[in-house]
Amino acid sequence: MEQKNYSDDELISYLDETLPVHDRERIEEKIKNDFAVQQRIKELETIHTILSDQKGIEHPSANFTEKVMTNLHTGRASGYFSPTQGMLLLLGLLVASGLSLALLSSSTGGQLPGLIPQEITSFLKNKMHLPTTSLDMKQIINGVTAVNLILAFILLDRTVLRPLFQKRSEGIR
Amino acid sequence: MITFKEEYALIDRILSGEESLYAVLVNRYKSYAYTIALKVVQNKVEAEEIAQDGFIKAFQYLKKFNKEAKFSTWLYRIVFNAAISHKRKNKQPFESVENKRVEYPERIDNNLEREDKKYFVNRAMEKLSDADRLAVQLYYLKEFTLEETAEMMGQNINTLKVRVHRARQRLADELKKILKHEALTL
Repeated sequence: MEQKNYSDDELISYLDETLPVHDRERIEEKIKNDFAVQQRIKELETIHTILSDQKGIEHPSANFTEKVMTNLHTGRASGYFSPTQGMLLLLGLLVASGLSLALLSSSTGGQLPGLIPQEITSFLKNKMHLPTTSLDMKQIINGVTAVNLILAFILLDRTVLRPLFQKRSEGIR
Repeated sequence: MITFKEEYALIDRILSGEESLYAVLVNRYKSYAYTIALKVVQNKVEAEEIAQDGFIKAFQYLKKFNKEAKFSTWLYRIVFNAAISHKRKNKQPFESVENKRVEYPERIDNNLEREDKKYFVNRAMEKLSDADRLAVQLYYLKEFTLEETAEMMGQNINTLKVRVHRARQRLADELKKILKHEALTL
């Protein structure tokens, strides 16, 4: 196997100009006399030059500060719900689901008397030619309750659990 | 330009209720925070949101800020961590350059001039680990000291130096492979 008489670390330090003078001279001597070193320094130099040319500090949009200052107390700038807002929404969803279930348990035979006035239903049927088949309200409310519960779980995850675990993992000092 | 003492005094005033003064800190560090986030997520819109969230988070935890450190370093760390977790949530896991086969598109011109090399180096950069890529990018920004970058990335300064060296070595090796590939396809 080919034995290298230089190390990449030395060459990189040479390019960074962090080598002491005597080491620097030694490397320059190697560059003059050793083709392999010449090749390697060329490769590393290309990387060094291209990286040095990268874009410097970039600037955010003009209203950056304004956005930050507006959202200082709302939690996030990126439009997510804060934990408090999330908890309130969650509570709202649970209350809505509870009410639906209570309504359902007080109804009989899948019908919900009094929920929609008789005049309105007959008007809709006559004027809008709605189908005469009666809707099973029990199934509809069950569906709505299920969707509510799914939304509640998503909200709980996004606004309470994830931020909590993220905060722990980021370990702000 | 304000000194660190003046900055700590400013933080005290913010904590005692003059919240509007926080805008001074935001204006002072927004470009740096945004650049750090951008280097990580490589998307301007996301970087801006992350940097804004970072400032908001820093404000909310300002009471816990340890004044033995620089506010900027503490802020950059918050932004950096937020950007990293954002990237982890939204991107596929890292594959190292050794495990990934790089597909190089056919080039019409045969002369690998500076722009071409830049293009291939950028492609090779994508194959580095997040930590190595960021270490080398932040190092070459020349806006942060090695100590600051190490603190921001939550790493030991020697580890950071090794990362920067290793990343450059890998990029050089990758570029060599590409040049060889180009020469063979001439």
